[in-house]
Amino acid sequence: MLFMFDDRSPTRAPSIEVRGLTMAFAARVIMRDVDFTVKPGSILALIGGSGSGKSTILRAMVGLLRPASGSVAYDGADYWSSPPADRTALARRFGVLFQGGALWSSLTLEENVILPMQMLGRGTRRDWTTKARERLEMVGLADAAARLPAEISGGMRKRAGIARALALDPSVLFLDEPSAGLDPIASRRLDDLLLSLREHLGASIVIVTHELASVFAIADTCVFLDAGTQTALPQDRPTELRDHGPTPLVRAFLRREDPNERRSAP
Amino acid sequence: MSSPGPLIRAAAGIGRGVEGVAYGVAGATALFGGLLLALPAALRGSVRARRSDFVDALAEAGYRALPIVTVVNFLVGGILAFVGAVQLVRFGAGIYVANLVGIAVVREMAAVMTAIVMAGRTGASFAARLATMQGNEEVDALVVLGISPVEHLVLPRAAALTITLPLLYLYGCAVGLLGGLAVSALLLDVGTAAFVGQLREALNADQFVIGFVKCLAFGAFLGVTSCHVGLRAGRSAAEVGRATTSAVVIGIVGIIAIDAAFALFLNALHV
Repeated sequence: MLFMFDDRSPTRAPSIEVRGLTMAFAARVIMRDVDFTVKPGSILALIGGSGSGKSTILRAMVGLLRPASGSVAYDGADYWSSPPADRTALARRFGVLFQGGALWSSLTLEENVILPMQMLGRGTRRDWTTKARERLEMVGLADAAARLPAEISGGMRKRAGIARALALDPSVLFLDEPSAGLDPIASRRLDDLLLSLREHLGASIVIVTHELASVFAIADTCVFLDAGTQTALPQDRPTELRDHGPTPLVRAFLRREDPNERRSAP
Repeated sequence: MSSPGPLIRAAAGIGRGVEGVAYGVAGATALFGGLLLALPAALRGSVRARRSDFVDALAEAGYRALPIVTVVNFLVGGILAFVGAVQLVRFGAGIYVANLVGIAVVREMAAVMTAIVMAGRTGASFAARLATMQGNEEVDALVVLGISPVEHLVLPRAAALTITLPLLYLYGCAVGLLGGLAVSALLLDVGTAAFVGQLREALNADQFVIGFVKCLAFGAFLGVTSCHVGLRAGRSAAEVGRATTSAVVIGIVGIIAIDAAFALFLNALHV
């Protein structure tokens, strides 16, 4: 499926460097010393078992959760040590899809897409409406624009969340489990949409996913988070990690094999 | 290592409770400060909040509360008249029921009862709404856009409660006095003209000003604390219930504490 965009991202995608990132809740360390880089216009997948800290790292990257230590630098400037005004300006270049969609439940889908534009004072109401309809059409929800989030399915909420994340023409998209709950065809369409966004908007994309087909289809590189050791393996291409990954766990994970069964086999 | 004894555990529990209250007070104070800082921008119309949200909050904290405010204040006025009538008639002073009802309703009961009703109704509703938004990551979705939840979510609600509560108080006064008049007319055979005449002697503008100012304070307090409790909620469904309960408890205790502080302050001023 081909998606057409009339506008290019107003700002080029920044390079993102995560260095020595350690995430903890009080004394409980979730993940330590995570390093990876997202080159402008590339797609990076954060993968790993449930509870390995993928979403936690994503939250640190978008400014929702302060890391215990380490840095998240956009074009060389550490987000967490920047002044609040700079952080806000930078965050407006982000488009974020949350795990459950996080649509504002009292607003229709169209109003959800309009609100970021309305609050950040770009354009006129007519511009906002036109753009909101374009974004909803892009994710196949043009007919549902007047519905409330409670009136649509989980998959539709995800797609509406993507439409909202695209409202401000972001230069970096952060997507937390975008294809969870989608049927295979919808999941494939979502992959096409993300590739199209990268191609036409030049946006960088950081995606947290368990969907291995998507990882191999769209990710340039991926980072595997090992919940057992609370560390991240060195960043590499998905096929490289699958075939020559540094640990049996990552190779088994990307081959959809159970590493325990492999070990006990004769 | 032996486990701590019951006294140590009780002391630790009290310590945690005190710490929780201290954090809560500090957080609510910070939120109130944030609202004050946002106020000039709000008056210029340049805050990141939707006018329609403010109108919805006004409706929620205003006319939609009229039925329950009517019932409660009418009954309170009637109860005061009834209790007063039983005692005052013994001394042949039945007509002074109007004085009792007038001063009690206007100076205390209409303000306190209306505020308590609003704590249980609108304060709880605001806390539940914001706690649900917190659980659904709707608040996070605002934060990542650089939209302040204080401006976008708290300001319209706190402003609405601060505006509507004093107006509901004036309405509550009228209904409460009507309740007193109805009971007086039925039990004491006091005519409307005599009751109103007695009221005019007993009441002056100061009584209304005191009640009105108290309701401004109650409204601001309820608006800030209910929103604060909602925004502090965790991510689970159980947290919504917990936030709602906390908002009501904090609201009612706070209203009574503020009322007591007003009473002491006004007494010191001999008002």
